[in-house]
Amino acid sequence: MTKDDSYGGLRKGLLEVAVLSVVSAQEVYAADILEHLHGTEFETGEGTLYPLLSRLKREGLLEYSWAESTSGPPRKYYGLTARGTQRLADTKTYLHELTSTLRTLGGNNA
Amino acid sequence: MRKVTTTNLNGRAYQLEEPAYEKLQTYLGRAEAALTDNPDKAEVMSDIEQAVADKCDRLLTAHKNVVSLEQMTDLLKQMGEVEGTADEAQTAAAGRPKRLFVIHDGAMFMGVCNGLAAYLGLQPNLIRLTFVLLTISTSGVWILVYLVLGLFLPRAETEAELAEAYGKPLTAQGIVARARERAPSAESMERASRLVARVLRIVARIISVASAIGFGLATFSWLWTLWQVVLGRLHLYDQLHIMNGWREWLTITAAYLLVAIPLVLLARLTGRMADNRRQSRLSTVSESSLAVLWGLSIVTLIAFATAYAGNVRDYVQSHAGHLDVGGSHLCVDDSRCDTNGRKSYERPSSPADPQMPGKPTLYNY
Repeated sequence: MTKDDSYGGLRKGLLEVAVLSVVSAQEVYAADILEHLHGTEFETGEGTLYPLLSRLKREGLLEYSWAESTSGPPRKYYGLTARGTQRLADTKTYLHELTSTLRTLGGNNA
Repeated sequence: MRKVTTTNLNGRAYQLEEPAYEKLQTYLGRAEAALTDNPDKAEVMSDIEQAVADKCDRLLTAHKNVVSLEQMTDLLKQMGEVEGTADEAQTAAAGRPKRLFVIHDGAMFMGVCNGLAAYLGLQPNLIRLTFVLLTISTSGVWILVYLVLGLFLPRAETEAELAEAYGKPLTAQGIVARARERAPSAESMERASRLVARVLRIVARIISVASAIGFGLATFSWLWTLWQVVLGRLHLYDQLHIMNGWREWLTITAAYLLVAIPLVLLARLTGRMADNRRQSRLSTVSESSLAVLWGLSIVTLIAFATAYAGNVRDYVQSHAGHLDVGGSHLCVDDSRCDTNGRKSYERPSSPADPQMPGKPTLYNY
């Protein structure tokens, strides 16, 4: 995967899936998510992540709970809701379907 | 040494250099604008403030308790612009009133047509063509309208002003979209507008070459006329005597500038249109000085005309309707000229000019 700009739209669309995947593994707070994405194709900043988290929460895919932190104020720890888990599974299936469609479309040499 | 200001980020005080504070403030301002339609705006804003605070915490130690401008720039770059959704950007655009600006970015001359095009939502080249046609049909008077607009309309320089000029929201997407629109991209241009642009470029090229040739002819005539003055062939007599010498030179030069400067400007402007080039800062400066020089030449001509109109009238009256320049007699008042015209008319001779008609003579003052 290249980080070339022409794939920017593709990556942007899939960022939601990437975030849901990170959250699915364990309860995390926003800075953890950024750290997990760091170095991957989905590397991003707070400016993009925070509005995305707020939307996912509004759509009922994520929820958060406050937890005390040893350094500084309490933090929001994000976890998947049942709907979020369902959506992640659905999206992953759909992505597999898309990939296999793309394989068969160009003949069988892909 | 920079001044330091204290600010409150989510309930804790932080010391920032003033430019760093201003930078943060504009960043948060843009974030807020991008989140206008987000129902969780307050929450997201507070999360973002907290993220800035956390990052500042990491930069500060017991021995370093001020966040510098460089650190803030770096920090905000890491965070990235806060993004609204595309829909939000669209709604914001619809409700936003446009303002008329001069837009230098992508301008051919002063950016008046560019600004009008943005305001009316039309192709800049269309407006330019209209202005050229209006200028031709009003024999040049419309240029004044252009100049007045160019001088008095506010100039859109910041991204915020550009957003206002184009009626688009000041979001990261808006800025990217405008940058894309401004970029000369053959693909994004529609076929018809490409054809119009090509025709316009050809027309511009023709006008450019024609005005360059016109300029060359004007310059040649000017030099030739000055040479005639040197040879004494444009000598003036009696009441017009006073016009000889530097006044004659100046009048001829002012008349030359009056014709030549618009030709130069037209050649340059249309040349730029033909090459699809942009106005540079240097050409703005040189063209403005030419415009000033043009104004001066008009003032000079008007001043001379007012000062010497009486002399010309007296001269024509006392020389049977004729005006004498060097060796030629011009009938300028038919009611006074003799029916025999030139034959019965003797060129006047002044005390300092006792010689034959047509013979070059120079007065000494």
